[in-house]
Amino acid sequence: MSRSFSKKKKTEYEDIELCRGVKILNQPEITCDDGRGVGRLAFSQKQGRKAGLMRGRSVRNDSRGIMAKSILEMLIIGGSMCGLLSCIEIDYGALIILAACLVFAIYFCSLFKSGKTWVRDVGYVVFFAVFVAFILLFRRYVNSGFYAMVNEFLDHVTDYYGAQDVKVFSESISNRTVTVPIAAATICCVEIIVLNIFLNTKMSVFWAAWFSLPAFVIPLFFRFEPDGIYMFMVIAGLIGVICLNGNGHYRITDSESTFQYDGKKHRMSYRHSDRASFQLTMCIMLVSLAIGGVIMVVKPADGFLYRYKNSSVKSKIEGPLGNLIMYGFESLRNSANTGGLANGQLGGVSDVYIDGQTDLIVRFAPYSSDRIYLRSFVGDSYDWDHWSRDQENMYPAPDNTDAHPHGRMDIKNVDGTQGVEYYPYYSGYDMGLYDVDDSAGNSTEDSGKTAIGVYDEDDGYYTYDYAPSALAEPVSDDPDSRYLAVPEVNLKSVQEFCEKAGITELDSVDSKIQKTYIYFLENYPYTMHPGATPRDEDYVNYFLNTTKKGLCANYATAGALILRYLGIPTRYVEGYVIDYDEVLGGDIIDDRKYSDYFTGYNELGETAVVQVDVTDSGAHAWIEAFIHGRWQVVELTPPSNEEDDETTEDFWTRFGRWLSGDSGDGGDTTATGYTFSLGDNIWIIYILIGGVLLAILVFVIRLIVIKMIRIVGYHSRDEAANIVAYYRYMCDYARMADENFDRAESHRAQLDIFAPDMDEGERRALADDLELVSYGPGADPDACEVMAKRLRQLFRTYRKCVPVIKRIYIFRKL
Amino acid sequence: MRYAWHVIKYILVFVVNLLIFLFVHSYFNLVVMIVMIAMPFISILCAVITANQLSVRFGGANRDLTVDEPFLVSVILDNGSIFPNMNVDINITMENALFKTSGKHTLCIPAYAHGTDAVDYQIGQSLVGVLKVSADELRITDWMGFIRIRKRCDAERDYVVFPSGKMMVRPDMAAVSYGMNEAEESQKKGNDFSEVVDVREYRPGDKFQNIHWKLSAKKDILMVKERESMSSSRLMVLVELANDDSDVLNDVLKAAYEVAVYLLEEGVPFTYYYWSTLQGDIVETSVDSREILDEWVEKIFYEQSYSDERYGLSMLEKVVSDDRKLIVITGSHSSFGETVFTCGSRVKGYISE
Repeated sequence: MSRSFSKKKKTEYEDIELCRGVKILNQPEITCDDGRGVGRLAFSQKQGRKAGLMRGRSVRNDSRGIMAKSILEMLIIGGSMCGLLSCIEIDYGALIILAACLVFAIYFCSLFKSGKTWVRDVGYVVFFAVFVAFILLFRRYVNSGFYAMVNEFLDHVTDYYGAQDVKVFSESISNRTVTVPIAAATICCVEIIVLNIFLNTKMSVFWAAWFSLPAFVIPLFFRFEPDGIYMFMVIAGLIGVICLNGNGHYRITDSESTFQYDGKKHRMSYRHSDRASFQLTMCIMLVSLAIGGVIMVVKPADGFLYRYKNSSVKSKIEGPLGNLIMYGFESLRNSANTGGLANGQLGGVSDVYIDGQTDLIVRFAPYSSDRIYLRSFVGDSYDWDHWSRDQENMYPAPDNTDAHPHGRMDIKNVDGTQGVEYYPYYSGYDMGLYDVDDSAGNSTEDSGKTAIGVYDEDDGYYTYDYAPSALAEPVSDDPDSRYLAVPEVNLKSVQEFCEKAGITELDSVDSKIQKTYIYFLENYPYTMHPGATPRDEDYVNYFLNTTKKGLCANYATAGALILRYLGIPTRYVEGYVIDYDEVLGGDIIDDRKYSDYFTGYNELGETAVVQVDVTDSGAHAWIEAFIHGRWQVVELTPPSNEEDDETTEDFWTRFGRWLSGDSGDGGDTTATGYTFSLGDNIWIIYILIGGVLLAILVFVIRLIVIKMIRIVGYHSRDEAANIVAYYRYMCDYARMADENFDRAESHRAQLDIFAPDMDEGERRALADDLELVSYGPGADPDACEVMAKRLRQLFRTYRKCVPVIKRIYIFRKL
Repeated sequence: MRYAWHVIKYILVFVVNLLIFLFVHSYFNLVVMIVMIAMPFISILCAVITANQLSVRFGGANRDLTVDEPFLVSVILDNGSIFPNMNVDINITMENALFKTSGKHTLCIPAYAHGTDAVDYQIGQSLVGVLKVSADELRITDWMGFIRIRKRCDAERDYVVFPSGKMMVRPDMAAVSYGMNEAEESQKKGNDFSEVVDVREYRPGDKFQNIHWKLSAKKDILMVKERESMSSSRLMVLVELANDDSDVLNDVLKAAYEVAVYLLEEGVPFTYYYWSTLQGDIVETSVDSREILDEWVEKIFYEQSYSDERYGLSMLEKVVSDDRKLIVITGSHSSFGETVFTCGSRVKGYISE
């Protein structure tokens, strides 16, 4: 029977022969000269000090190795975080962040220093528990701090692009001096955990570079430069890692010997020196600072940035990147985004994402602070999910005489729906019928009317003459009855709406419109994400009865049917709008005369010719109602509400709300802080708990199975085999409990360890019996039973001497 | 190969930074680039300065060392520069000239900034002799791990390891004492170890013990025995410095040392002989004290061994014509005379015929 209880001998220093006849008797140590002179002897700690003499101070157990790595991690992670925050000029408490980074780094480095896996595992578990508790208690601070960083970054980005502010996260705690360091430290903690693993195992240059260089790419893209001190911290950290990686000797573990010997290369190499690592790290820091200082004097930042150039690649991706950051991933889609409007087609848009691109360029002389409408599509008949184009579509020709102000507007379709003209109210148009040839070449009558836009091939603009005021339009007779048609399928919904809104036939026209608007305002919130209308649902009914929230097209369509039901002729219009603040944000065209663009009374006075970039956020739908003999613009779409409105929430805001489980009700706040509320995201916790329980269950089952297999191993029918199996278990146990057990190469030597207090004769007899059982032909079963009992008793006594923590560890392992 | 890989990694990081710089044209990346260009040069410069300031020496007690007993060999590295270094390779050679053994290994230790560090080897030597520990070259790797700088150094130290003298050998004194019968008799009669070589008339001052009474009665005048100094009657012991692959010379020297210690303790005067290959002559030493014995042994440590197990004897017979008995200590398995003692299975002392 093989001696399976003996493990392979470890390589001891006694095996190393430096020269024939010369052997190392114990592991060498590095000592430093403490000035007490040469000639005294110092042996390794395992052998103890000989006669109290010491050559010098042994530098084996030292915390400087941990400090060196911790400083590198702090330089890289803390430096990059503080650098990023300095890019966006936010109050950040740099010292707090750096101190936190250092503490985390020291803690995690210490876990690796012990060299014991279980210490590391326990350390991580303990930290995880503390971390989770911290997050639960300070979640509001962490969220607010993170949101503050994102908001500030987006603010800088929008300034860079000259775009409108994008509202993103709501900071429930406004004190950024507190929240930002907490959030930053939390992020740094996670990064340090990752980086620490790679620095302690491989001193990975890749991960050090990953955490230091790419982190700055996005802010640098927008020319947000970090402060000089953080630049040098990051550089020093990166160079430090490169140096330690290049030199090796970076793994710090107390459990390993100071030196390792390579027999093939005849090389005795030290594993690690805390003092040397620390000194090298300090040198690298000082050298980096010195070089950096010289650079800043010779080539200061101001001089460099003055000649800042854009690369061609950067210029190309500037736009999409900005949109990505400001508006989210959907902005990267190439499909032309016209605000969800598609020439009368309804219900196919689930969510509208603004790409921020310019759709129209409009040149005109501002004449009013009111909203300006640019018309393109007019629908007269609604059917289930679309409006049919109104072939009449225009209004009585406006009076362009001096009796009314009139103006000129140049419009260029950049990225709007191609092939479509957009024209202002009230443009002149062709009164006559257009002759359209059919396939046989015969003329047919077609009542299509369109505004007269003069096209300039040089600059791509259409020029329209228009009368800004509705008063320029003559009063006309009531229009065709089709403008009063309400489909049968919508009658009930519309009727119910009117009842709920308290609109009666006795109300005046203005009152009907007002009540409709107010009811929409109070009960139907505006959203950019109405959800697509199912195919088997009518667009208006689905809006009025089911979703009760929608886009401008929802309000315009439903509003048109409601007003028609109330006896007011209406038609559906799509196009673009220009609000006054956009006009104010436009560019003044100095080389164009005001007089060429506007004549007559201007309530704003003599303005100037302004060019406005109209983006897809200006795409809109409204209705025209025939009121008092004229077609007039009627706006039924409610404005955005800051609390309930989701139109100004972009992808990031929604993602953040989903992640935080914020249902938008603001949460409860108490005097002491935030009451944790998961809301609809409770399933996340269930999954986490379930995962943890499953892991524990698997662990327990595995442990039980291992124990069962072992126990079955020494409860077979063969008593001798049982004894051998049990003794093997005892030896495995002792091997883990006592590192000297491996040196015992015979049963007697092993029993000396198991039962040092036993009578020697008795011990010898037991050893002989074991030899007999292990190697002999067979043994008496009764004798085996007695021996088994003795062994169990012996083992029980031995285990009592093993420390509790070790016993738990061995229980888990064996 | 290892160094080339470090350079490649460094270049990769540099290229990544360069690409980012070309993309964003940022001051930060410019600074990183400049530092990364400057750093290797600084690293090499610091390594050169450090190399010039490094020195190696050996320490540890090098006298009163005993075979198979642990002793300390300290390798001490002094760094006079202010720059630390993580990789200083010291080529160390350990050799024992007597047994023609040599071993080389490389010791890699750090060099602390403006400091001294040492590595203590706890050595156990099973061969007697002088262990010469020397370092001929240092190799320093720069901070970034790109290059290695070599520097010659000449540090050495001799560690003299003596036999233990623990009286494992017990010579057969009956055989050893044959040549000492007269001496022994003289001892009994007053510790007089001199031998009678002549008889003369009595002079005032002669000892009464020396009066030859029989002759005096015959001649009717007092006659005195003139005794010779016992220096010519000392025990002769030849130590064969023949060696083989099994290092039998080690056991021979141990045995010779132990026999010498025994003889000193027994008060037996003796003279040790050996053939010196270096001098080309028989070396004779009268060992009267432990110090002389140690000196004699140490001299042998610097000798060269030979292969013929009777070479020393053959040389001694040519040089010394003496009828006195000679004890030969050798590692030969052959038997050439009466065995006086044995040491283990390999070494024996026999009386040469």
